[in-house]
Amino acid sequence: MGKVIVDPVPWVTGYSRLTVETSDDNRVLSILFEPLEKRGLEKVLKGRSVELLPTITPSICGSDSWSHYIASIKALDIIYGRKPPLTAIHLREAGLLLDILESHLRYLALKFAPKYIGGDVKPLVEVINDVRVVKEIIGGRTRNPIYGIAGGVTRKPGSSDVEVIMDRLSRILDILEKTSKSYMDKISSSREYTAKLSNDKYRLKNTGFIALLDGDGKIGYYDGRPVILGPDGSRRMVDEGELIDHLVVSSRLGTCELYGGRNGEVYMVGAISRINLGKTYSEDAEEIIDKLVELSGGKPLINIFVEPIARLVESLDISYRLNKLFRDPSWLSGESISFEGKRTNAGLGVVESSRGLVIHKYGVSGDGLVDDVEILDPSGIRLPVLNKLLEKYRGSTYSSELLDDVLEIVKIMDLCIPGASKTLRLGGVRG
Amino acid sequence: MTRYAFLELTSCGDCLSELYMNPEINKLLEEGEIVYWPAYGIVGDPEEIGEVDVTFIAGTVRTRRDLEELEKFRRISRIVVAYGTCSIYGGLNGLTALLEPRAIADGEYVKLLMPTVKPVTDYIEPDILVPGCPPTREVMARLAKTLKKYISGGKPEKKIFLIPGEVLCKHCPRRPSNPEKAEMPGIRDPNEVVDDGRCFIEQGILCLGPVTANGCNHLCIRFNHPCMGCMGPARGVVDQGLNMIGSIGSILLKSREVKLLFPGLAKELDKLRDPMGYFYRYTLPKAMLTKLALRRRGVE
Amino acid sequence: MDWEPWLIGFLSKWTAGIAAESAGVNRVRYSPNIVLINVPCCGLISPIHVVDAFLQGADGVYIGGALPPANCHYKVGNFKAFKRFYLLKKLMKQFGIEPERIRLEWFVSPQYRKLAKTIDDFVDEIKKLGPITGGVEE
Repeated sequence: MGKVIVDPVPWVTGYSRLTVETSDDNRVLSILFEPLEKRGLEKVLKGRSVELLPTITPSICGSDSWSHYIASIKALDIIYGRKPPLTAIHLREAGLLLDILESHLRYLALKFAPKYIGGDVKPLVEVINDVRVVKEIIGGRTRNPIYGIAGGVTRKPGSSDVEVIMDRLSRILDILEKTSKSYMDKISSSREYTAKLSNDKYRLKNTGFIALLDGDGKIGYYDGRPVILGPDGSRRMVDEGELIDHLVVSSRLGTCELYGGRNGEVYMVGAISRINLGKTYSEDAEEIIDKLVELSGGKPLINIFVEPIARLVESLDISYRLNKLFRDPSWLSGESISFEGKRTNAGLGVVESSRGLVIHKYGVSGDGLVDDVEILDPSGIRLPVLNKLLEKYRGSTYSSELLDDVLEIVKIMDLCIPGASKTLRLGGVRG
Repeated sequence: MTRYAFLELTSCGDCLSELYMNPEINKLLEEGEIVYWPAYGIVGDPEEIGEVDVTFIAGTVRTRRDLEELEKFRRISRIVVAYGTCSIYGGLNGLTALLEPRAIADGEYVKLLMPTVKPVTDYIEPDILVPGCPPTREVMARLAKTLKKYISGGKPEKKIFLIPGEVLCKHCPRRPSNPEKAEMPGIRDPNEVVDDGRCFIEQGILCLGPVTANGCNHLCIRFNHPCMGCMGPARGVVDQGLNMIGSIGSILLKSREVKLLFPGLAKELDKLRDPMGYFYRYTLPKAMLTKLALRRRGVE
Repeated sequence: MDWEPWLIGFLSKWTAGIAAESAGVNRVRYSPNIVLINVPCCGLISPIHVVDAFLQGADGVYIGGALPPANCHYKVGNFKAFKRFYLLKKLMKQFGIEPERIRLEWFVSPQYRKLAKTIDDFVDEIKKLGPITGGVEE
């Protein structure tokens, strides 16, 4: 029996280890992916004054920090019994979209393009900096924003701010339109990539998808309701509270053991889930999706190599949405906070992030201290999906190509270990 | 060619990616070579990397591996940059300082952990310190400028702290016209106050401005948000929380204390339900009380 | 048990400090486990002094000020001290350190018997709480 250990696993945010066990005749017995960065941040949220949570929880995962922040602020809205006015909703949504956009673009520029597209990633890096400028104008900081308050936002951009925002947003859209076209051309003509897109090995088996959708079936990053597309193809809306139990059960089944004949279904979240379930805003984005469906053999899209392109689709679509939002910024003239409302003792915030669903659920005692916390991070939800994909290698003959392949899948999943290790505990114990 | 390493220790994992994206820093990196950054596919055994000119370190020391890597990279690096508040004071990740390894991991994984979480500065001497959560664009530009001086060789004679250490209140746009007369009218939840634009403390909101270094150009204040202390203690501040308690003692309800007497004051002080959370959001591992609490566990 | 606690006391020289002196003159005994320090005003004692005392091994810190509270020689010292140490105790609790290790007592200067009695009570209480190191030998 032999063991191949990759430590640290490259292309993963945070510290993790991958162990491949092989038999005497060089067949893969198991592959174990272990998140080894243990933090325990969720443990110190209990006992905190609830109003502090939005400033602490973004640290769960730095590259999805705004999603955790906005989910946390939404939970506060409910605890304070307030309904934020439209101005605040739009500003929060804009911030959330910008953060997802930045995360997508970083992934595309630094993880995806160098290997599969080649060429200069400078235009994308420029776009990322534009996004960061707009984020700062809207939320104060590029990471861990500070503009939220229960029932609204603390600051509205002024008219000169809006000019800068519009200027940058139109440039972002312009570059992304060009980038997405050239990327799609490259991908369609790349034999390596199209082969991957149609390879059965990379298909998500017995995997469902979850995404937030708004009333007319479009992706609702900020305030959509969760919809599940089951592995059997059934589609249903679920209650947010029910979703936590649902996902935690599936996380438990997955744990971090990558073998063991578990039959439980797992759920994928993030760009691939969203474009499987919801409609986008722009025709260009829909066009790319059609092309993807054609390349990978039908809908729902279940090949993991669709994920990077799904993130490209979303980047384009998010830029459309943002441009549309700020083209007529008359909504900015309204109130930015609503103080009306009666306190409650529980709050729930669900939003999308670049990697998928973020769920924050807090219980508050009579004196305003947090006495119950449940937080799901998308990297944690994705780990069991990764398990399922890697299970397929069991019994194969071990080779360095196989290891490269495995590491490539890990890279495509774009895990954030600081977030993932929060939700999942080895041995299947809920964190 | 200048050789750079990116070392990410236990944290939210985003500081160094942000740094990389900064145009001024990115330009420097392009003229050099990144020799270590596992998160972006550049892996290698630190023992075999050879000399590194500049190592950027973000995060805290929580795992034993964190410490090993940290010490290795200090040894092989000409200049070490402690980047982000976590690396200097513990940051948000430092809030877990009082958690024992058993509370965080099970089974054999417990052994991977250090008894507590500490900032990088507790173990090694960095050459350049860059606080912020995250550091602002202005500070990143300052970092690029500083690094340029040492790119071809040499190192700072003494530690460079990239933000001025003066207290945030000094140039605060909300500074009261007569700070001597300032009074905190009570302790209020920031979510419950209709902000009138005055000094937060004068509105009863806990703002850590009086004990925090200015390295952000009043970013939160300009966003109508009280200071949370992310830049760490100002010059002369020994312990953010204890110094803040000192300030609150001086100015809370000072015009009404004779009337309220101790019971009345106690009632108001009880509204601050989570002083640890308010005072040490970014510096818990550095708190004097943390040292005391850890000593009781036999850790210090 | 061999362990004997040692405590530190900060006394406002205008009231509690005078009481301590009177206790001596009148030969009233109180526990030798406390080291008393006269200070100009208890409003000068910072939470940093107190926590530093704990870090240096003090098992309890006693603070004596003036009664009634508004009777402070410097007007506001007692109120400052009260607010600070009330908050510090709340904070200590969150760190798992017994807030009872800090005791505030208020005096008019002739109350030397009260001083002796409260010190003895405090020493007894600290004996029950055990060493500041929580039983870990240093």
